[in-house]
Amino acid sequence: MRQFIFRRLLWFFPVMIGVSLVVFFFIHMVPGDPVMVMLGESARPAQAEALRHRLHLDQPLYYQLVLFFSDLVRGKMISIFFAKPVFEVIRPRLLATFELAFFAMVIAVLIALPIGILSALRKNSWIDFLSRIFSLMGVSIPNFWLGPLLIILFSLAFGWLPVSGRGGISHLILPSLTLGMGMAGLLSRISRASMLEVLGAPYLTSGRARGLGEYRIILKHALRNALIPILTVIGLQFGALLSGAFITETIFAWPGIGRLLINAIFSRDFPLVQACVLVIAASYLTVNLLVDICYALVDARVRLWREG
Amino acid sequence: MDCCPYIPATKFTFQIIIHGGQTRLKTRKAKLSSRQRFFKAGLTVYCGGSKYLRESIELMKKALFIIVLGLFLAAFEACKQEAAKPLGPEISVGIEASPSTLDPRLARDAYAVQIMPLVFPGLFKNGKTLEPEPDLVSSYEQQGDRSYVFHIRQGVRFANGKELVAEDVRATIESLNVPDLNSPYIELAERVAKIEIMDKYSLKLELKEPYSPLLVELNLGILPAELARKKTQLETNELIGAGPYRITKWVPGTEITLSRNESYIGPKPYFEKINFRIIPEDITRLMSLEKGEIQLVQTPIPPDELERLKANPRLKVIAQPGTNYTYMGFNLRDPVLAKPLVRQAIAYAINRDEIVKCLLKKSASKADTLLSPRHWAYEPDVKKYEYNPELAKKLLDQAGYPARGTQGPSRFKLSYKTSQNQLRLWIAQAIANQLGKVGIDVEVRSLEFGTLFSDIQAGNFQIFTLTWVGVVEPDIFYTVFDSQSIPPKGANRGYYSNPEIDRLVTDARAAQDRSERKALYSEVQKILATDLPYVSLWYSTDIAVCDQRLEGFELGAGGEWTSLAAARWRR
Repeated sequence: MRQFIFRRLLWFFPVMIGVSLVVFFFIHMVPGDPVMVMLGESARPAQAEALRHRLHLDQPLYYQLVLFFSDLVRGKMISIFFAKPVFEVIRPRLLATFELAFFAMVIAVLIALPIGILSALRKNSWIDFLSRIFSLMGVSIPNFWLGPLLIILFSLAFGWLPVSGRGGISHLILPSLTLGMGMAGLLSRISRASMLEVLGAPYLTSGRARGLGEYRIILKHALRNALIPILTVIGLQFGALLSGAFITETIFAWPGIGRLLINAIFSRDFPLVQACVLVIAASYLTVNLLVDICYALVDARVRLWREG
Repeated sequence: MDCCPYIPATKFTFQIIIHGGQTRLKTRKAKLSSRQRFFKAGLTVYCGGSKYLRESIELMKKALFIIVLGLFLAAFEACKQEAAKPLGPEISVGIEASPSTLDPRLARDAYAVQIMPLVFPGLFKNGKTLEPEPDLVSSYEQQGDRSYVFHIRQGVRFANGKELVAEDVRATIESLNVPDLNSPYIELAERVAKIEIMDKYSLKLELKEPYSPLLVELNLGILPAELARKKTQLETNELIGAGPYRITKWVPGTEITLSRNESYIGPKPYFEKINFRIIPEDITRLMSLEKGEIQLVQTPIPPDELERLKANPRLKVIAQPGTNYTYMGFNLRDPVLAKPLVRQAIAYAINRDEIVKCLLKKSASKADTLLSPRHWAYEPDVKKYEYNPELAKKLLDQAGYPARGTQGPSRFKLSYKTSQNQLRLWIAQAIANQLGKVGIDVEVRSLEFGTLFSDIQAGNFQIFTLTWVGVVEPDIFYTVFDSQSIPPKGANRGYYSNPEIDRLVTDARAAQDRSERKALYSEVQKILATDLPYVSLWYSTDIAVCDQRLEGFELGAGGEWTSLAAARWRR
C-alpha cells in the first residue's frame, strides 16, 4: 500500500509541471496587458515600462517561464493585483471553497445514496420513476437558476436562511444545497446503476442462504461492492467543485477560489491565475489519490491486486 | 405494490404549510389504506415492502430527520441573528466588488475611490456643482499662475491621534513620485516643481507650468508623513487617515469594516460602524437588501428591478442625474468612419429615446456632450442629433454609400465591440438593429472586458461603446481628444486630431479664471458635437436604494459614500 501511495505521489510532479506549462502559455496568449490594468490609461509610458520591467513582462517568454518556476519553487510568487504572496491570497479562499465543496458533497451523498439504493431495490416501480426524474432534474437544473430560487424560497419567503455571505452554518446551507443538488442527481443515477449490477450477484443469494439479514446483505455486501464507481464519481465531482463552484460562489457572495481565479483572469493577474490553477490541480490529484486509497479499503480485490 | 403481508406498509406525509407568512413542516404517520390516494395535498412519499426495505426506509427516515433538523437549526440560528440584530448605530452596505487597495497613493478603482473619502480626506473635495471645495484646507491663496499657498485646518487628527500638519501633505504628494510605488497619480507629483513648508500648518506649492485642474486633483487622501514615506503598498493596519472613519477590518473578497474615528474633529458620525459587504451578483445584492441583511446599495442596479424596488414599502429609492457618460467611439483611422457624414448618419440613426425607455427603463437621460447638465462647464447649445433615419440615409448617400435596394446588400459593414455585460449586449444589439434600418450592416462582438479594453487601446476596432465614470474635471477633454493623448499616452482611443481642439484644451488647462475656462470648454463641446469623434448616448442616473428609515444620505458625485458620515436611522 505504501509503495502504491509513493508511486502515485511521484506522478504528482510530471502532472503539475504539465499543468504549469499549459497554464503559463495559455495565460500569456490571452490578449490584455496587466500593466495597463494596474496603472490605467493615465499611466506615463515610462512608468508603464518601469512596471513592465519590474514584473519581467518585457523579458522573452522562456525567461519568464524560468522565473515563474523559480518563484514557484521559492514560494515567492507575488499577486499583481493584491501585491501580496499568492499563496497568502489563496489560502483563505481555498479553505472557503473546501468548506463549501465538502458540505455540498455531504448533502449530495445523503440525498443520492438512499435514493439510488431504494431506486435499485424497487426497480421500475414508481419510486424508481420518481428517483429518475429527480436525477434528471438534478443534473439539468443550472446552478444560476437553482441558487436564486432557493434564496427566494428559504431567505425571502420563509426568512429562514441568510441570502449571501460566509458566516455560520446557516450561511452554508443554501450554497451547499445549490452545488449538492446537481451532484446528487448524478450520484443517485450512478448508485442505482451500480447497485443494480451487484444485486443479482450470486454472493448475495449465498448470503441469504447463510441466513444473513437483508439489512446486512444490502448495506454491507451489496453496497460495499457497488461503492467503487460511486467513489470514483465522488472524487471527480469533488475535484470539479473546487474549480467549478464559481457561479455558486458569485450568487451567494462566497469568497472562494473559483471567484478569485475568474477575477484574476479578468485583471490579468498572471501569477495569481497560475497559482490558483496549480492549487486546484494539486487538490484534484490529492482527492483522486484519496479515492484510490479508498478503493483499496473498500474492495479487498483491489488491495490484494495492488499488494500482489 | 408488492407489500409484505406481515409488515404494515407505512405512509409518511410531509406537508409544507404556508399560512399568513408562517411556515411549518408537519410530519404525519398513518396506517395505509389501499384506497388512499398517494397524492393529496403536499408531498406524499409512499414506501412499502419487505423487511430490508423497511430497514432502508428507517435509514432514510434518519437521514431525512437529520436534514430537516439541520434546516430548522439553521433557520433558528438565522432568526436568532435577525432578532438580535439591532437597527442600532451600524449600517451594512452592499458593494459589487472589492477594491484592489485602499492606499490613497495607489487606489484608482471606483470601489476604492468611493470608500476612501470616509477615511482619507484630501485638501479639497467635490462640491455639488462638481467644483472643488476646501476640505482639509481652511483657506488658500493663488500667487501668480503657478504658486498656491494652502493653510491646513488646525487641530485635525489622524486616527492614531497624531495631528495632521503641512509636512504630512508634502510627504503624501512627494510619495507619488517614488518609482517603485507605481502610483497612478504620478502625474500630480510630476507637475509640482517644489513644495515649501511655510509653517506647521501652511505650505506653498509651486507648479512647473500653470495647471488649473490642480485643486480637483488635490482630493488625494492625506497620510501621516511616516507612512507616506513607505515605498511599498500599505498594509490594512497602516491605512490611517484623518476622516470620520478608520478601517478596522478587511477580509478581501468578503467585507470591509469601518469604525468611527474617535479622534475626528468634525461632527461625530451617528454610525459607529459601516460594513461594506462584497456581493458581486446584482440580484443577490438586491435580495440581501430586501431581506434586510444590508441596508444600502447604489448603482449598478439592473433597470428591470427598479419598479419592484420602488413598490417595496420597506425601501426608499434615491435618484439624481449622474455623471457617468456612455458614448459610442469611432476608429477615425478607418476609411469609412473617417468621413464626418458617416458619423453624423450613425448619430441620426440611433434611437436613444427608445433604448432609454425600453432597455434602461428611464434610468438614464439623453446626452449631447461629455459633461453632464449639472456640471459648471456644461454647454447646452451644441448640435443635437435627434432620431431621424431618413436624414441618416441621405447623409450616407452623400457620403458615397448609396442604398443598394431594400433587400440587397448593405451600404457597408461595421464591427461593433462591446463587453459581455448582458445589458451592454442588448444595447449593442438594439443599436445594430437601428443601424441596419438605414443600411449599415453591424456585426456585434461581445468580448471579455480585458480583451475589449486591450483591443480598444490597440486601435483594433471600428466602433465600440464604453462609459466614462464620474466625469468631474473638464480637463478630461485633454485626455480624450487632444492629439497628444493617443494611447498609450492618454485615452484618445479613436485617433481624433483637430488642431483647434488641441489649442482650446491646452489653453483651458492653463486658464486660471473660471469664466475663461468655461468659455473655452463651451467651444470645445460645440466643435466636438459637429466633428463627432464620439456619439453621445446617455448619462446614467445615479441611483441608491436604502432602508426607508435611513435619512441624511445623499449620493456623491462620483458615487462616494461620504454622506454616510452624516446619515442616521430615523428616530
